[in-house]
Amino acid sequence: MVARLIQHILFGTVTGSILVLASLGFTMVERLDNFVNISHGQLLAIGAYFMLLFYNILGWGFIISVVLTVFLTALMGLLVYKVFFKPILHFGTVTLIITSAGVGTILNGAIEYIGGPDAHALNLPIFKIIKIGGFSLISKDYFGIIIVGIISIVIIQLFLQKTKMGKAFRAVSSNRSLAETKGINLGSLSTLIWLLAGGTAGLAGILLGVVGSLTPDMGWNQTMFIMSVAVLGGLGNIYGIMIASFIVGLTMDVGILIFPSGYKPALAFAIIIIALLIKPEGIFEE
Amino acid sequence: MEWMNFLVVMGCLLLIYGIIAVAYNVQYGYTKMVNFGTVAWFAIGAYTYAILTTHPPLPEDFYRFGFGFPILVGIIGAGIVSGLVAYLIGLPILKLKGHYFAIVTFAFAEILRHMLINEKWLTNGTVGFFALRQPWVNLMSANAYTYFSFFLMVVALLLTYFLLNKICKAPFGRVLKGIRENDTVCLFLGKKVPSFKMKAFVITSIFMGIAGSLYASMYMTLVTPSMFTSMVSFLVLFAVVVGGKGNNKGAILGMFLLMFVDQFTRFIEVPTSFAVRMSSIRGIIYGLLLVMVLRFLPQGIIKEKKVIYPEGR
Repeated sequence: MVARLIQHILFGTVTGSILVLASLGFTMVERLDNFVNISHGQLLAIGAYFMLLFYNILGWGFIISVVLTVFLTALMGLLVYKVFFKPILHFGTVTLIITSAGVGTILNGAIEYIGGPDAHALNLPIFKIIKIGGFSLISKDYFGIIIVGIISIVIIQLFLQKTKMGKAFRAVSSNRSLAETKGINLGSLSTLIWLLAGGTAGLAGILLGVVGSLTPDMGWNQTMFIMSVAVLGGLGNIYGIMIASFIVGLTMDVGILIFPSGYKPALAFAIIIIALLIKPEGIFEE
Repeated sequence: MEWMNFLVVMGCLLLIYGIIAVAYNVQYGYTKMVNFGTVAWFAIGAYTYAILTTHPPLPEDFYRFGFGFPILVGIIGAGIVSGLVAYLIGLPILKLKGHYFAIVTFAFAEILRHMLINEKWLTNGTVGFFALRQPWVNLMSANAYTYFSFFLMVVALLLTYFLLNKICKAPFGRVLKGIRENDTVCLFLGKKVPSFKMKAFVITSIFMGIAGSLYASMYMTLVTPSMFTSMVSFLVLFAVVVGGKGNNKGAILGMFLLMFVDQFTRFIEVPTSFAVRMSSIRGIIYGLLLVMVLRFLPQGIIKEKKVIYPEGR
């Protein structure tokens, strides 16, 4: 029984690690351009499908597929920004949110058109399961996801604290006009942030392919979880998001020990509602 | 004449969605409440109708409640329950800001859908309710009934349009517009903003619920959870934004446009490789239309008329 609980806790950590990557991009964009980009989940799906293309269909090596996928998804993120969002940044938050709903639908349609309505799977080699004391805990690839999650958190931390662009981002997100007067180049910062958002989403998409199958609707599903994390962690609060990702991941995977498994996504949404009722600004202060 | 029959059936759906669109317009166009969970109230109306009017459960059914009430009770009940849920949900939610409100309403709709699937004792799970009774269906032939229900829907939509329009042209509507533009100023002027928002929210939800009951009874005669996905919310949003927010004619126009795109993409001659993927292309077209309208015609196709009020109260 304890072993099962530990298993589920580990699954929750895996989910949390993927969510960290997925939500970081989302929240950085929100901080920068001040709108909730509902289409962000589609970038994850795009990443997953790119990986399918390179690794499965073209048969290229694992590492090269990963690098290409992350790179291309980053470019896609930037492209989406330049084409759809940048021209209307001054139209107001509500318009941007609705546009992002439209963009999400376009991307979803494109993914479904290119990839087909059926589910696909990345055929990764079967990894060995790590056992402790005779109980099988978790397989090595899932464990690898947790490692990737931790490394990403560390890298983002370093980026925000140590690099010039990171500090510029923090300046812009706390007070945009003041940052502009200090001469921070918003154009190149936006480009970098959107590239990062796309790249992290692409990586998250690959990891999603590792733990599950690819369907055209995965974009919308992931958007829901990302929003849950973002609301819990405080829209735009990077550190809150990191903690919230794991809370959401753990709640979902451990929660299904109690609730029927059909409710798993609903748990994520219930978190949103509870969080907003208790504290509308988000659990963590900005 | 089957294509005529088909057009009429299509028209029925358009009219039902039109009711939701007009109601949604009051929420979004007039009061700027960005509700991404519209389908929830539609579903509540439909399922309430089903539960109220379907027969008591047989041993092989999962559900426990089936009252077998007459149809009118079902329709009224659908409206009341929708309004009630709107009130209960609105109490904690309406004070949230724009993007939080959107997220929460979306989450609510999705949780509701999961509940519809999982709470079998109430909703019969993924099987849903079928063979729902249509009003007066015994009085005429099936063919004539199609036209009759079309006629009923037209009446319903016109009623909705006139009722909601009257509300919007009245001082109540002006306050809603004021809330949309700047709710702090409205508070300053002594208007009880939360109470107005709640009233608008509840009233429009009642209409959405009634639309749901019409959908369940006359159009589909069955309800299953898969009929109430977030795509429905998106379609309503699309209709209102593209057609023109803040005025009810725009909402109806938007619906026409939507149905036109939908049907057009179903029936034009395309090479078979396209035809199979038509549903995804349709999604792309909707999304593109929405994005382009928002960029170039942010007010929608039918703009809201600027009303000049005469001096004085």
